[in-house]
Amino acid sequence: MKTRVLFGIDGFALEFFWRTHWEEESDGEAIVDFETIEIWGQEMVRTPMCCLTFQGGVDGDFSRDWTNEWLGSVDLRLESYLALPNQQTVDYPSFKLVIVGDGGTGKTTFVKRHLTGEFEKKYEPTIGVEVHPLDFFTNCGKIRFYCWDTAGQEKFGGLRDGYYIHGQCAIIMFDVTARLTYKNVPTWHRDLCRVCENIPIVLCGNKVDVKNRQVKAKQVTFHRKKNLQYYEISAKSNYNFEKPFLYLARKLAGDPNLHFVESPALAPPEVHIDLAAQQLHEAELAQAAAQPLPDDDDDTFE
Amino acid sequence: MAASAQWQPKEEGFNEICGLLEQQISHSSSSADKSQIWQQLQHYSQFPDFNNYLAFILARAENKSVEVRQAAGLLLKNNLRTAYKSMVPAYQQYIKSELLPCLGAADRHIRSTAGTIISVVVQLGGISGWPELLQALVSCLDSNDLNHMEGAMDALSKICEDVPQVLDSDVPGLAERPIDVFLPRLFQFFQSPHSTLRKLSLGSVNQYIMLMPAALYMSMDKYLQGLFILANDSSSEVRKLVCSAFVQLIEVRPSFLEPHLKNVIEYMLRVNKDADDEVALEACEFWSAYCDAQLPPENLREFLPRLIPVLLSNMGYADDDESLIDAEEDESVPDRDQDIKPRFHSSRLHGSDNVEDDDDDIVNVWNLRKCSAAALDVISNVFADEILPTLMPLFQTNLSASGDEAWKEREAAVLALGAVAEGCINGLYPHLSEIISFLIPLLDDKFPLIRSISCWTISRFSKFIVQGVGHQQGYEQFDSVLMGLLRRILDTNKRVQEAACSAFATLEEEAAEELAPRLEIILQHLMCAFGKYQRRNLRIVYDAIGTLADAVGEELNQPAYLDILMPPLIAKWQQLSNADKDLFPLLECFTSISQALGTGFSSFAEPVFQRCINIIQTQQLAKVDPVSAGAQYDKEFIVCSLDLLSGLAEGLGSGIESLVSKSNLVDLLLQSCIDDASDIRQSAFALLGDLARVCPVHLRPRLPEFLDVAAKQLNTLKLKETVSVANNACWAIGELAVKVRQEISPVVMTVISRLVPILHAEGLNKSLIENSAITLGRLAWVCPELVSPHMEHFMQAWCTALSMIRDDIEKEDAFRGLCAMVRANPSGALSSMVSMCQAIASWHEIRSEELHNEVCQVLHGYKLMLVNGAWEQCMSALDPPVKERLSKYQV
Repeated sequence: MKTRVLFGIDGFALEFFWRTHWEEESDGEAIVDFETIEIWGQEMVRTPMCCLTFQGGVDGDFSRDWTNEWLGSVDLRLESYLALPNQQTVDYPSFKLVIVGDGGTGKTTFVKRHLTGEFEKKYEPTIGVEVHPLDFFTNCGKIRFYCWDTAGQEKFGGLRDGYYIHGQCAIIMFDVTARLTYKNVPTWHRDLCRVCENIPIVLCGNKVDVKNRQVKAKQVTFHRKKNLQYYEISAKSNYNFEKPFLYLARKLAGDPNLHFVESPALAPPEVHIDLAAQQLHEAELAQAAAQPLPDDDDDTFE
Repeated sequence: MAASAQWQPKEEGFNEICGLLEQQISHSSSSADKSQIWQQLQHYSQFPDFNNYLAFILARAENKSVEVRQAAGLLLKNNLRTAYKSMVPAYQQYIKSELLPCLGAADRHIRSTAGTIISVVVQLGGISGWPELLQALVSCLDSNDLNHMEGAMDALSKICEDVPQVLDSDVPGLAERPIDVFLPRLFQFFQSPHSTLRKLSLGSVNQYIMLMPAALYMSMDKYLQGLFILANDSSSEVRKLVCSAFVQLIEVRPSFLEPHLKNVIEYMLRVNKDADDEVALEACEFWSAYCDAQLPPENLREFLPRLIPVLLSNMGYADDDESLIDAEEDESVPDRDQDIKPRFHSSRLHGSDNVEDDDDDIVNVWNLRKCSAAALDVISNVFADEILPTLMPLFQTNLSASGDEAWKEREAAVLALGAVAEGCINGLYPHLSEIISFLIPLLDDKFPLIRSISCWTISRFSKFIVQGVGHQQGYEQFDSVLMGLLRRILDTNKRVQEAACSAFATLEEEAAEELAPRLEIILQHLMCAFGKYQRRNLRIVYDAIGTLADAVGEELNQPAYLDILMPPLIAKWQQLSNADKDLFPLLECFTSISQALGTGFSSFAEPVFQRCINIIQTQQLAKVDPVSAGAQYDKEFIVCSLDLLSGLAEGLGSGIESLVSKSNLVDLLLQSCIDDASDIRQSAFALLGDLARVCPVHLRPRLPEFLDVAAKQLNTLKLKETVSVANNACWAIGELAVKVRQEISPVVMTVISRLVPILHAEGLNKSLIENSAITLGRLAWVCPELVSPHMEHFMQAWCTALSMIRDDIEKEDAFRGLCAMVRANPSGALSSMVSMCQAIASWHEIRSEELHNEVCQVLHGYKLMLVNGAWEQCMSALDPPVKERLSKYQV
């Protein structure tokens, strides 16, 4: 029997999450054999046999998605399975993140905010796909997203949904200044879900820095029907840059309290704030805050 | 057929393509490699049988990895979208014949990929183009082999999702429509022991609720029966689909559910508490859908005592709500660029309707909490006070739940009260003062999210709170709310600061001058916040100051207040460079203050005026030469500065004259009026109009140029994109006309010839039509001899537009024009007497006695002129209320 298993690493402890369907043939305590194991969606080189004991609470419904359920522990030597085929591996958890959406919505720019520090005003369509590893530091350690920045334009699409295979999480991007890009979101979502079932997905409305938006916030309702998270972002000003990654990291780790402990080096927003003015500003704020105003204390007016 | 039987892949090609696909989907190859590999793959795609290879790999490459086979399948699907129709039939046939066996493949990914491709082929070639498919699907569904059943069900469900209508159409050679064949089988799968089959079959039938084919219509009982059987399914995905079916049915076909409504509601009530949040969320949509469908409320009424507690308990924050973590952030943590939402200044507009509503307050988070609160809101609008007997005891119990662990219940209770604030206002009214006394202490609660929600809920009752200030008790309550909110403005928690500022802004707007006695303390708090806030909330404080200025007006103009308010703002003003975007909210704030203070702003005016001039100058230079300007061009700076100058002109009145005369503003303004950015032109013409009002003398030297560019804005062809520019330009022309009188005459006919089409146009914005009518009237007043010969062309439409305008000074000017034209060309109005009478009757009261008399004369003149019953005929065409109103003019 083949199944997909997702491992999370917390320190050196190994956590184990169920990923996909299971045959309904067990009750109570079940022992399951693996023929193949995948880590982070990659099939392992070797096919170890191991067994897993459910620790109660399993009611025989194996069809649901266990992504975020703690099931039990596996006695496995992790190191021997970390050597994934065809991947320059890192010794911390990494996830394949697929970024999709119409051409020109800003997928490449968004990813590159983290990398090279240049906001690309000029538009060069992505050919096929570009893979960028993005690292984030969390309170549980470092994690990496392999961002598969896919081509939005049909003529440069390459394998298109072929690139979604083994995607573990996704971002669907549209452009709030171009109505059509929002209208196409359901198609991107459908294609994604047909290749990657039950993965966490974030919908991002980009370019909220542009004055005349065509898709108003209240018109964005697709995420409600499909249980997606929605963020408005600006790849130009960096607004909400971290939010999509943070949401996905929390979902993948199954830990709502996970947070980023240091910000990644982001490209500065397009307009630099005058440093001298900024310092003056801060000094003034400090001064103003230190001034003895009559109502520093909440209780004064009681 | 012969060709397809003979087609065989060549081993070399097969291996090559598999290798390339493998590299395409692997993590390891670099992006450059990937695009190179893609090019090679493209090379292969030139071969006419490339897609056959892909089909072969998907279906038969058992020795290759599933991923490669899947990738081949998906690429095949994408290629078919463009190439299928032009493909030789033999290859089409080959591909189709390879796909069908995949339905029963052992690997789920292969089955599912085949299903995706099959749905695309059906989209392209229809069902009739693939007779074997129906047969294959039916035999797989009937096979009793799980793989085959699942594969066929997967393909079928995708067809139902993508092109449901093709299954509900006649297929040549088939006695029944495909849906007739499949529907009984789908219903049968509702009872399958395999949850995948239950899920896919239910999902497929749900796709037809909107379409409602005869087959489903006829078997509605069976469907509903099936839904009830699946209602308690062990799979949460199935339960979610059951909920979604009921929600869709109530939306589009409520009559089907009516006989079963009690059972359905009973069920929905239960699954609103489902252990799976997604099921509960789907179920929660039912209540709003029910209310929106305008079904008889009686059916829901008896459930309210049970429903409301469920909604209330679902309104508590879930453990994974992002707000919980966000609320932990301390005020001392500086905001980062990524925390600051881009915000826009909207250019000044002279006119009645607001062009855009504010998008800022829309929060897009959707979860069980929000959905439940929305449901409660809708229910409160339908049932109003009826829900209070259930809600209020719950509210009290939850609020008195003590202990830290119960804070979420207390918070949810306060949210619930805010949610019903509108719907239940009548019933709440007698108790509001008690309720508010209950809420005030919560402003100081230990938990930040209770403090912030209390700010919001209290602000929902602003109207009531302000109404009561007339009596002692009411004033005391108003004061404690005010002080409570001010305390929260200085909260140490950023989210609370934000909620408090926005609640305070709501109270400000409601209270207006009632705030006057408390201005000093309000200003002290706002300025203290101004000193300590981080960037994100700082903007909100600017808004609060601006709103305060708008609300209290000249009450603000007292030395004691200005001593608190102005120094920090001026310090900030001086600190920010001309290129700092943080200037925008400050410029906006000054605009409100200068309008409120009026001449009281004079002592601050000069540096503000000069700064605006400098900014405009710098930016105009930066546009062509950023290096020597030392700044990056951003038109927003010009727009904000022009608007602040308008605010100064409005506030200072003719007091601005000396500043204008010493500056080159008029040249800069002319430059701005011909700018290519429409928002700059919009603000420029607003300023032109404002300056025309207070110091036209300084505009005189450039008058012909101003009039020329202003007239150009009215070009009807471009109106759609720049309606707001045209609006302001049109108004400015009118303001200039009444000041410069005869000097306007060179452009009068050009302007009239552009205004008339606007008055006749359909679907233009109301403000533009009003301004056009006013300006036309003003031109007619100033130059009746030029305008009156053309009256017939516009009287009807013009009078209709005039009758929509409410009483004000501008309308008086327009009617002076009407009277002047009628005197010059009495016969010009004869064909539009009825409209003219209606326009006159639209006056509530003409304040100017002289104009009132003129209008009387006009009416009397026509009464004398229209003999032989023509006048009576005209009068009889008028509605009685119109006639009634005309009686004021003694006719």
